[in-house]
Amino acid sequence: MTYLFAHADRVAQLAAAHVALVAVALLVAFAIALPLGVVAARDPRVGTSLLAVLGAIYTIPSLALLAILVTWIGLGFTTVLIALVAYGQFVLVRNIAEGLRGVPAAAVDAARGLGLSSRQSLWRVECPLALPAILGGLRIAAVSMIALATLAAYVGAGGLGVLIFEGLAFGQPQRVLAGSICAMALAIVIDALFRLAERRATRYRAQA
Amino acid sequence: MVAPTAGRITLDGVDTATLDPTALRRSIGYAIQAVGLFPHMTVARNIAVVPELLEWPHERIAARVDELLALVDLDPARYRHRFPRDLSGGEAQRVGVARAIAARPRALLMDEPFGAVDAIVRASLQDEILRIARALATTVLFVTHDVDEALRLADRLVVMRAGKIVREGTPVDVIADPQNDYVRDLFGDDELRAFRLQRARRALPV
Repeated sequence: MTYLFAHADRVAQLAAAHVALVAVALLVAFAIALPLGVVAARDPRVGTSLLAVLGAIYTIPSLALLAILVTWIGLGFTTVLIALVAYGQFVLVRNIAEGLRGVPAAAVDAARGLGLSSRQSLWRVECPLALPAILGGLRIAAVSMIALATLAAYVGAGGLGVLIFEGLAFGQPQRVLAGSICAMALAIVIDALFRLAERRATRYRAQA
Repeated sequence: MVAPTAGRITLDGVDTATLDPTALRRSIGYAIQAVGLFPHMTVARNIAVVPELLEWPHERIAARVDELLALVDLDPARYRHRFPRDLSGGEAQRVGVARAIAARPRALLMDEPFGAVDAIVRASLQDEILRIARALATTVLFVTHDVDEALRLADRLVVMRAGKIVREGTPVDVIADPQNDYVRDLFGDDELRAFRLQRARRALPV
């Protein structure tokens, strides 16, 4: 704790880098997962095999995945980004596909009957109705990325992990503690924000 | 929704197979038993879906929504901002009808729209459909398994059996002269048929 307050500036800087890394990773991961999720929802067979592959990636130990990526791409931001995006896919695609499959058939039917094209139906009806599940996926992905992103320091990409690795190298447990507490606090805040968004997205379900 | 496997469907004399399916669906109002209101949209936004797709100006959409709510006998001020979840079955069905006719379709297709509501609400919805159909002067194609509902609503009645038309005509003509056993049995025994005929005759405009 003493380290945290004595070096508040540095901790804040590292935390900002941490958040930036996770934010970029989450955006990229979502941009990839959305079309995959739509495909998985429309074709259950494709969905099953896709999730099997993504699930397999999800089980690769993160340190091992990073080590492999380093030999390919080298150290730095991109390497961690790829790892975070890869880990995020499973949860995101699964939740997007489940959310879309859970949209009431009558609503999709009515959308077609009213003359919405399949794209219009997807954006105006299906995605908004799947939004709570999609936000849930984003929440879990974001929280796990915050934890994973501490490994960014291992490949020289900064973030709160720097404190943890320094603490381990110099035998200063208060640094490890400072980095860990900050990462946990971040995760809790992000989790709460997404929960709030989920609640807002389901307001229409509440009885007036 | 489903392309014909045989035969032709014409709308205003044009074979529908030659039309763009999306534009075609947009020009036909569509109300189904499940209603299918979009649960994440308010009543007003549900009704505005097709006008929004057609990019009507906002004021025109708002005015149309209020006009339609009044037409289906729902007070716009009370219902505009409600979500489908807070509507009764009958109210939801009315909103469904309002949504179906929002952009003045050339025809209205109703597939057993009142199957899921109780008998009393059903009767009042039937009255309403008659009133609305007259107010709109739009062709309504109404599919039902309920013989009395068909007799009550139809100007022209088409009896179908296993995908084939077995009798076509005004309700009075069809009951008075069923022409085959299937249609005769459909309208009940002699006594019930006589009663239905009498009622259909009485319903005729004098």
